[in-house]
Amino acid sequence: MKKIIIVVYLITLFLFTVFSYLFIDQNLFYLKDFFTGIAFNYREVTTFIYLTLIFLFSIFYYLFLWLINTKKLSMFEAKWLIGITVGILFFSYPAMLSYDIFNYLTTSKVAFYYHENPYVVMPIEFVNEPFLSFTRAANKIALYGPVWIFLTGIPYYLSFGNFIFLLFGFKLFITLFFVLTIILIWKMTKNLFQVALFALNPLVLIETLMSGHNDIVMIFFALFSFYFLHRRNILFAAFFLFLSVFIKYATIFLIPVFLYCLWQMYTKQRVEWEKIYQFSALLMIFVFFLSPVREEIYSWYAIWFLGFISLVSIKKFIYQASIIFSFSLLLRYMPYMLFGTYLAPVPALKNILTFIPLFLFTIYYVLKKKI
Amino acid sequence: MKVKLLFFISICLFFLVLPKVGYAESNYVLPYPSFMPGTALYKLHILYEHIQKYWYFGNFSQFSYNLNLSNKYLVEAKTLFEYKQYLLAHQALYKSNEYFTEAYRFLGRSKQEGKDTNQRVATLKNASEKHREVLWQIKTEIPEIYIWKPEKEKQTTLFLWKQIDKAIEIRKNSA
Repeated sequence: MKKIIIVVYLITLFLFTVFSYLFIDQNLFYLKDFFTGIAFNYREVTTFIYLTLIFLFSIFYYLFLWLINTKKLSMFEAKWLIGITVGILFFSYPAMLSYDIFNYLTTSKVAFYYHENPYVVMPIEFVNEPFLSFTRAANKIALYGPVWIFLTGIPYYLSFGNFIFLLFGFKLFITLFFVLTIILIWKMTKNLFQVALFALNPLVLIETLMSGHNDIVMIFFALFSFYFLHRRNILFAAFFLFLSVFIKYATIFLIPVFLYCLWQMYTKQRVEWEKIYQFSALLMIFVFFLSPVREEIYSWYAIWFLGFISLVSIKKFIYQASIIFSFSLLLRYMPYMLFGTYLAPVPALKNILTFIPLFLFTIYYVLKKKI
Repeated sequence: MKVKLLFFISICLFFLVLPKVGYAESNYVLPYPSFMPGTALYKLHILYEHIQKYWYFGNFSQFSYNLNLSNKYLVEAKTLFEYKQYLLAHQALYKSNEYFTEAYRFLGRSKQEGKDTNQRVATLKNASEKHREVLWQIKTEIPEIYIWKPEKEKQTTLFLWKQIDKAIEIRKNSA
């Protein structure tokens, strides 16, 4: 049974990777040979396939957690499972659900090719720049922190000016941080279930290994900071928190927790790490729900709190809720996939799809507890 | 009769054309006056400007940086001229000229790098027109020469019109 689950999961992953190539942008001339336009011409079918695939991923996720919880999946098998998942999703097309990776590439090019400050000069100001045809936020100055911009120099220079190398170089870069985060969670918890809770979460996998969002880099540095803080290496801890904040700024909200830990250490009190991680997760959830103030809730922002949730001893409600919420956040992509517009009724539908499943689950949980 | 008519038309044409000769009409918008010399934060502001120079790395960025400062100091000079603070105004206009020349230099460097500079050339041209418009206006309101006599210090002779003409010339040649 276990083998069948794994094989079917891997086939699903492979199909998802192939499916992602149906979303190639017409303007992405570097991949013009792979362009079919199917995702844009057969929106109903595409949306249905997407729904089926993410539903299957959520089922597999639940099954794997159950297998690990019941000790039916060994550490060795889990490692292979995560390894193959990483290997397959690495080859997926990164702009299926979000065009952010193109923003990363173009901003990187502004800094390292044109040698201009991306916080001053917008990509659109380079009139004949070929990346402009597929970059969505070309009319904005750099959106991310300077540490991120600086780090993007690594994949940029290693691509040697080849677009495919550059695109997959960025994916590889993000993938490395994903692997490092998993190793770190293992080092901090020594609990396979908690590692799998993060590493096999479909939202984390899709947003990180497929879409290549840099949130994983920010969370890795934040977790690494707490790792050093736990070992009372305050200098390194502060340094990595600094790096994390200047990747994408959201972890600035962790500074009070960080200072509280320092104060507890200074006054020789016992630091309750479980509570520290819980509070950090809560703060990250708070920032997550604060994001509509700036723009809107983006699915990949969930990585901010999922990273910390994976560090705390999980209660059944929490992990079931995180499965449901991860699934519902992935549903947010469906309205745009179906209608092809960001205008009404898409924003309303996105919110309904995000919160209704979580709301229903909470009601079910409360009722079940009463019975 | 004919002579009178020709004379009348000539006079009309002269008055119709005259304002256009005096001032170019540019849509370029100059900033509001910033901190003025003598205010407590002025020196801090100057320091901030110097630090900003390193933030604006890259030729396009340097172009924006220099043009913004050229605009800023032109407005500062205009305000100071209006308050008859001729020495300070003279210094502000000198700075504006320097930054304008630098903006032009960085535009040239961008072009050498192969960057498309058309948009920025147009911006500089508009800025140049607006600057000249302001400079012409200033020239009508200030004396040709002014002797600045501060207390307990040496007097300075300021050739104000000459400086304005030079500033106009810089902008004409750079755009």
